[in-house]
Amino acid sequence: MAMVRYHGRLAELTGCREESLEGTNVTRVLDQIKKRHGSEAARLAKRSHIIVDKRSAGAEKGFRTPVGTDSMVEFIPVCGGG
Amino acid sequence: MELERYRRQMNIPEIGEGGQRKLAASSVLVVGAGGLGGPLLYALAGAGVGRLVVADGDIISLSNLNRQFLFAQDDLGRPKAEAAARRLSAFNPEITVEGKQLQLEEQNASELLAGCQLAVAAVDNLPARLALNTACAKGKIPLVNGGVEGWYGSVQAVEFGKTPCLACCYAGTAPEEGGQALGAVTGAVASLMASVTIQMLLGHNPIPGELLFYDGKGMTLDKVPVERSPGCPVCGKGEKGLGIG
Repeated sequence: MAMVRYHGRLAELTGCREESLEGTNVTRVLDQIKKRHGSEAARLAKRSHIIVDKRSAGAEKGFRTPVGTDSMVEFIPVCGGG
Repeated sequence: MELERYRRQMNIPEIGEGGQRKLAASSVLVVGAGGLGGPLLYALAGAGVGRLVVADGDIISLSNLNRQFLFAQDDLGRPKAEAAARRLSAFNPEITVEGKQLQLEEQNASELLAGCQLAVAAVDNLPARLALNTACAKGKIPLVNGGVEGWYGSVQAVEFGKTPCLACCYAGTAPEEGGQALGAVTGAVASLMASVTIQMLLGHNPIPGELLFYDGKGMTLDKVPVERSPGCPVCGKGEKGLGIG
């Protein structure tokens, strides 16, 4: 199972900073987040800056970015404002 | 240069008189003079960064004043760049501050960056950050990026060819709905940005290959490691990529 780490409001919503989840790609991990923590958590996670094994999923294969059993997936709020 | 003004920071071993002279000889482009740009510019001006180019095309409005501490009530309706230059020049008359009332675009970015050793993205939107990132990549000019959303903020220091650039990090991501900004949070994130900027001007990147994430509600500061993306459209070998380093 991959290790998933939450930052910001997502950590509050899920009640944990990190947990182990199953999933072969980002979409599957998001499905698991929805199943375990509900739609709002999944929505926030989907809009996050998602980093899989130190690389931004957006610059790789997006939601199809592969996730391995020993992967680290980080969900960080996108901070674009000033 | 009146060294007495900087005596307390010259006591810091990593700065000293040599570092102070280095700061005085530095030029920095700061894009955005709002919630992040204001406190950041005060910190850079106070530290004695010799030349500051401040680019912002906005006009000061009442909803800015909860966090944009460069401006006062009687500045309402004035251009931010002009008011910022005036206030900062009064704050530290030893430095040069150039206000540019314009929005950063690909077409004017190179001109704004002329003569600058470093650029800072303190804007309020992702497209402008990515435009500055592309311009800096072309000139291999280091870039400090900071952003906020509500209680949260992030900071990155980009050295093109060495660390991930903003396109490595933010390509394909959608920003939050936006519009949430608290002075206490923008001030904290701006201070982190200023500290990173000063260290980079002195030759040290304190967060290479890391995204610094500030949680002003949970009161945590995390460093998240991020690598360059080989397919990055700006610094990698992706479509139209510059193939840097």
